[in-house]
Amino acid sequence: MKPRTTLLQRLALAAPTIGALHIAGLAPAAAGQAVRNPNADAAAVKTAEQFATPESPAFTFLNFAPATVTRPNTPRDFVAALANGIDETGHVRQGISLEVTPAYLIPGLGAGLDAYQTSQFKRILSNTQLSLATVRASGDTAATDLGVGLRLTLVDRGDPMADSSFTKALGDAMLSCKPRLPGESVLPCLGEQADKLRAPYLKSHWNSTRLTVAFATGLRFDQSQVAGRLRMPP
Amino acid sequence: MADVTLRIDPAASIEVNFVVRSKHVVAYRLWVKTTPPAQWQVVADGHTADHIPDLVTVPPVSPGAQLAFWLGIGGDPNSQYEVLVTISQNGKMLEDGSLIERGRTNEKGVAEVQVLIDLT
Repeated sequence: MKPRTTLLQRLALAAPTIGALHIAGLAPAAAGQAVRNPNADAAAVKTAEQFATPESPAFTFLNFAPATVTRPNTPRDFVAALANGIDETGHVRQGISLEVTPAYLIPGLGAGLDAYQTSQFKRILSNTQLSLATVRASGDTAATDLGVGLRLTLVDRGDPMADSSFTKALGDAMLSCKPRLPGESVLPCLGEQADKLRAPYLKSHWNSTRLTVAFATGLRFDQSQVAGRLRMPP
Repeated sequence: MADVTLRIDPAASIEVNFVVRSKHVVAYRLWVKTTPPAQWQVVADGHTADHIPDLVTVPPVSPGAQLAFWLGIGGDPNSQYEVLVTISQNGKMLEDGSLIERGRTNEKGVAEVQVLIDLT
């Protein structure tokens, strides 16, 4: 079936994006203590590119594009990554970038495929992304800014993993790659089969209804000290 | 060298169950190698998105036999997956018979896991 684009769908795409950028830019001011974020000035120029909901709101909030992002897969890795963010003298390290899916770190929150496909709440939970980053404060080499962001996908009618006919086809296709004997790697075949199914699916659902919101806020650590005075970043 | 060693009851069949705990599809293949003939034999193939139970029964084997399974995982690119594989006998989970496979899919949205199990 050929997907249709309605005005409502277009609005649904655009509205959260604007909200996300505004929320990200205004969060410190809303706290009532902060000065304006100089990094947010660039966000004021609303080019078409900037209308995309940020993948990692914390990075966008700090105007930071990390070369590598730590994505812990287990609660232990997450705690270790957080601990690595503070050095032995109690100073916040700069350049930390972390992204996690809380549903897979907190036992009981994760959803299997069946629950994901049948429960809207489980879908929202499974697609919620938490991002965290630290950067050197602008104009102050000793201070560190911390950004924390949350990205929630509330509706995604073009999500292939929520479509049971797509996932069954994917399972059948991956099974065709199965190794003959233990130890044989078939990863290239799996990637090829997944591509064959995903690309046409995404192409045919490019304008499906989606609603994504993102929030971000931050803190400034004076002298980069955790135990020291904290204030909202400008 | 095996990834896991499990103590088994040679008189009882072995049940292997595959459960996905994330929004991924898992294709699997299970082998057994008995002594003799000491050759890998396929016990089951399947995947978790077909609404067919993913519980596989392996006939009783002697100590010294081996099990192996392959998991092909598919989902969103760069997404976290979690798969639980349980191995039980007589309705009870074997000691260390709960294997949790965690990781992240690649940029194409796939990953694979292989595990070799010694049965003693």
